[in-house]
Amino acid sequence: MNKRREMVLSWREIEHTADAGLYIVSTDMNTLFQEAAEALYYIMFEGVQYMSGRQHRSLRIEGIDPGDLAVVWLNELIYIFETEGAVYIPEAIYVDMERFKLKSEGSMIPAPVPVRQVKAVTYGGLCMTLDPPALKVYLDL
Amino acid sequence: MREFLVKKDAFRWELSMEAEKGMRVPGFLYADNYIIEKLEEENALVQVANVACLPGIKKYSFAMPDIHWGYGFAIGGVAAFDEEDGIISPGGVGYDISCGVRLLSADLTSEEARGSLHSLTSGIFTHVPCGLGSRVAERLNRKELDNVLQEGSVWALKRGYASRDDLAATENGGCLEDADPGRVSEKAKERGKDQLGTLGSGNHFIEIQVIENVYDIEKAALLGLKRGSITVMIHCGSRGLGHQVCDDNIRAMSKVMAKYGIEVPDRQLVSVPIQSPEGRSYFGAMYSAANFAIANRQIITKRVRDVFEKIFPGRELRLVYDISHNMAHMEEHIDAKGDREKLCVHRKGATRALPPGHGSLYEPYLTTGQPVLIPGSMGTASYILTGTGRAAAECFASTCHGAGRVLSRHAARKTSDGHALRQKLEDQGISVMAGSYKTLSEETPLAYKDVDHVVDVVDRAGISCKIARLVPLAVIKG
Repeated sequence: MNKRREMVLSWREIEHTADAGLYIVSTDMNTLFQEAAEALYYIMFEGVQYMSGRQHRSLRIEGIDPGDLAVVWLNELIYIFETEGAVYIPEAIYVDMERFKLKSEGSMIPAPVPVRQVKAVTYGGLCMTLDPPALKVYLDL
Repeated sequence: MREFLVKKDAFRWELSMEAEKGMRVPGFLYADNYIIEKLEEENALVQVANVACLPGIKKYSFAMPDIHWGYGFAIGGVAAFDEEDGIISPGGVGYDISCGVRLLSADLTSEEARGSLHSLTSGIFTHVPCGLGSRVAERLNRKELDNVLQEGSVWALKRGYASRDDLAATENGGCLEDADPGRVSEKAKERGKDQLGTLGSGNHFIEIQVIENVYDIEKAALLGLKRGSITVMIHCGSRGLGHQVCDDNIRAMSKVMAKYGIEVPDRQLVSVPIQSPEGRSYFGAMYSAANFAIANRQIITKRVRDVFEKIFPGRELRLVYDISHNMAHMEEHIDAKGDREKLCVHRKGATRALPPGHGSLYEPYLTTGQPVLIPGSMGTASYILTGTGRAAAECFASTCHGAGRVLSRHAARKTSDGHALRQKLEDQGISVMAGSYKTLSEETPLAYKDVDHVVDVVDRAGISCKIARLVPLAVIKG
């Protein structure tokens, strides 16, 4: 993934004085969460080559509302990178927006060299809409 | 929101309670016209107003002159809450719990160090794990990690990484006693277990400096500071462990906040009563993360001293002070009626600045006031200040923490690339070693306010007292 992908308008970086913001808009919720992961990885690594890894992994995430689910999802990806030195590539995501649950099937690949540390995905300025599916979120760098 | 600012004097501005519905107290900014002009976006003022809406807030929602847009609280924000009916908020501390600064002073002049500066810089760069994803080979087991979380620098003392003088020169004696490692999640411990003694990245750094100017000769002498002497400044925090503690507690509080009848204008300001089970749990976890940060800076100090000893054998590298600028403490302050009150003081990107004579200080700080360490942006000056009685009377003994950003990282990258910036600093006589030059430009001095100006504001406002100015000779960045 490279800068050209950003120009396909699935997501863009938002200015923030100290850190980074992301605005992601998509066609459906499942794709929104997929593209949020891609956007996060762009900030962390300036792109990750989406390919199947050898190690399959399922993730189950729960939130208390749509925005919280998105933050928990993205923070889980940061946690996996920090503790395992690997990147989780989601291949199929199923989002239940009634019970605020996410199920992902994907695989693990070795992490590329990071270019930027993301401490956490924050709740500050968090905004999620369901129609159209869109997410605005800020990262603490 | 700027239209609600009322100038009180050359360095004090009040943000009227009419700025936002729900404000319980006014906002209060320490700033001069330059700082106000640099306040380019309204977001920081909105955050000052938002904090003023929180239950139990006392006096003002404060902003120091390095204020800029943050999460929940603005960076440079200070707010105190009543012990009985006030709240505690992880957003008022930040993800990097107990991020702070440590200053070491060498028994060495810049002239004596000149020929060995490159060796010292590259030695530190090699021996202190820094950069993205930095880890140490010696992973702590759970028991040992819990000991670090409980004891902070006391743990380091027991293992020969610190001296008693180091603990005496660290805020809170190097250990927050109310830490409770049982309140730190397994996820946080998993993140922290191989990060103790690592610098991290972003705006964290180790800098070799020289004391260029001394403003108060008497206090500087008491602190062991001499013009022309070499110093080493270390800026880092609680690493992934602290970040996870913050996230864990934001989520935990989000689930229960409504039952306490609390509503907040920004989700990052999620809060619970100080005396609630969730509040007490956060205190235990926050103090544990703070002990980790203090121990982290102590281990880095040991590594720096090892390098120093090899290059300058027999020359001491003494700890001047270690202070945090992302914390919440239970403190006693005097209210307007002269009565003592116990408050939870949140400082996010702000530093505690206790005055001379404060009961919790020991000599020489009892005479000088508590040291305040203000790192500048890359390539610019840093400062040593001390706390004052006026700060204690006005703003809960608080002051600024740095220069404060004015440009986003995105905008900063457009000003130059990392290699060009490095060359520019080298041309100024400042060596730079970094884990990655790709994002170095995000830390360009152009992205920050003028630190000389910010420090001047707190000094002339009377809430801190300038002691010495330090200039960089070499910078090590993650």
